[in-house]
Amino acid sequence: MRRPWIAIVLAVAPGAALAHDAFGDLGPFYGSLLHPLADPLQGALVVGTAAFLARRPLATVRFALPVFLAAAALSHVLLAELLGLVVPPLLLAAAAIVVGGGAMLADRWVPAWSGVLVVAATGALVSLAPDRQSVDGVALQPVLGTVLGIAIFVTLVWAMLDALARRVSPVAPAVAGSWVAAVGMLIGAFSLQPAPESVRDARLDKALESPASDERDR
Amino acid sequence: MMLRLALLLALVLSVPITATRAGAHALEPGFLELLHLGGEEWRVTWRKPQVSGAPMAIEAVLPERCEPRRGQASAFDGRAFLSGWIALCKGGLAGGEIRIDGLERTRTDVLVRYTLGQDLSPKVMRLTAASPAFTVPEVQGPLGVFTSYLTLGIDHILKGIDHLLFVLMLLLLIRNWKTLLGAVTAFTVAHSLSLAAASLGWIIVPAPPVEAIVALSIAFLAAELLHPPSEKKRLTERYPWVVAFAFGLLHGLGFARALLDVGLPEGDVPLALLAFNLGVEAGQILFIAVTLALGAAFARLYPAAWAALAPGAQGLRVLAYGVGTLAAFWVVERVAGFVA
Repeated sequence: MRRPWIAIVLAVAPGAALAHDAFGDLGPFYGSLLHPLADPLQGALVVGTAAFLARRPLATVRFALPVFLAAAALSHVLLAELLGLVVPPLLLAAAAIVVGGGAMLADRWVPAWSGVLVVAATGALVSLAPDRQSVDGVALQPVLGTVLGIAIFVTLVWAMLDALARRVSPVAPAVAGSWVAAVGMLIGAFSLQPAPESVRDARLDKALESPASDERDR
Repeated sequence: MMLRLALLLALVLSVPITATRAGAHALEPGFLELLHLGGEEWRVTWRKPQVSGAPMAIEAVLPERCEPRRGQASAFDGRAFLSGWIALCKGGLAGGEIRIDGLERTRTDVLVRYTLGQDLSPKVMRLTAASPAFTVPEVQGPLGVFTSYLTLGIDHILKGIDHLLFVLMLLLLIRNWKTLLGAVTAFTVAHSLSLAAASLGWIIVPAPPVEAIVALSIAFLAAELLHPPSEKKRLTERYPWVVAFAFGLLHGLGFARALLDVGLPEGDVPLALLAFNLGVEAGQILFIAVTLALGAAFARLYPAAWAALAPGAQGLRVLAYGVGTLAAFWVVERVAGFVA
């Protein structure tokens, strides 16, 4: 191991996010539910939103959290499932930078209405992660899994950061937000790079396979 | 009023969804067994799950050096489609690839159990849609058996909505954390005992009545939730450990059914049993931890709504009626299944 850092970089490289069998084959429901843990972009947006909310007063969170979840559910059903819309990673990375950066701002700099707008926008984007699990057949289970997964993770991370802010240090959500913004910058920079040949080949193979599999499913 | 209406609406909407999922709960994996008969011959048993009365579109394919590589027509045995044949594998199984054609298009698992020689203990491999093939290793260590059965245990508890619903009812009924810890421990000990006893063949109970009683146990806890706290203490409050232990024994029999469906490796029975049980416990602990954490977050965010889930509150009653209705539906469905 002359270059241990190479192993570390490879372990956290975005390429790893393409592997969706990180938790084994748990089926479409749990696969979609655990997706935020396997996809750095979706995970960063979820943590960033939670950090952003943890910096806001409870009254704002009470309203903003359901807005975030409703936006995520609607955009997943209408845009991802019905229209097949896929958002480029760069846009998601930019959203992670905005929401992570927003978590670093004190509440007086963020009016309640703009806070709600920010989480509504991230909610609409978070369920359009380009690398989400696609499943043939009835889509009820993956849809439920995606929406429930986002709801569970954002609530749990918010609760954890909120508790840390109250009991350890009020800047805890801002620290988490700065990390999310940094992750967003890294992923944004990676997404501007041309994909390695092996990844391009894999994408080409996938694109070539798609019509055939669609035909077969019909 | 709005909160009550919202709760009711959520429950009404969730019943058909969960009822549909419940139908998919029963773990019905495929099963392929290759037993060494001596020389270069293996007896192959291939059990295909049924889908709407027809065999699932998956096919076991033996290594290239085996002849025949695929089975002939299969017969329905009441639960699955079975076929068997004698395969001649020149040079043995080790190093060859066993594949399940079509598995990648399903959501089913296939357990492969094989022996490499007459005096060697059977080995197990779990194939899934993500990994529908494997190369038979020369020697499979205990780690492979442990991982396969641990994953199977986690998979079974997380996909078993009835078991999870029972644990959720316990969480709602018992609000004192020390008593809850005792009840959950009693439930765990009980289902570990009955799982081991049933898996080792010490007790034999037909699966359908057990499944019906598991559903009945959820209905019982839902009924317990409906008792106003001012009335005489509920059975679960008076004897929480006894109730949890008694129902734990029943749920363990349900877990054993899943394990018996896939079989235990003869040489590694204790290890496989331990791994499966640990998997079930891990899944259960994860569910309890996430539920409690979500409950705490919800209580901080919406204290007024959270109060609706206090003992005796209307919200809790609505929830109890919803879960009770679902459990009653399962009881009728499962009883009708084995009576018919």
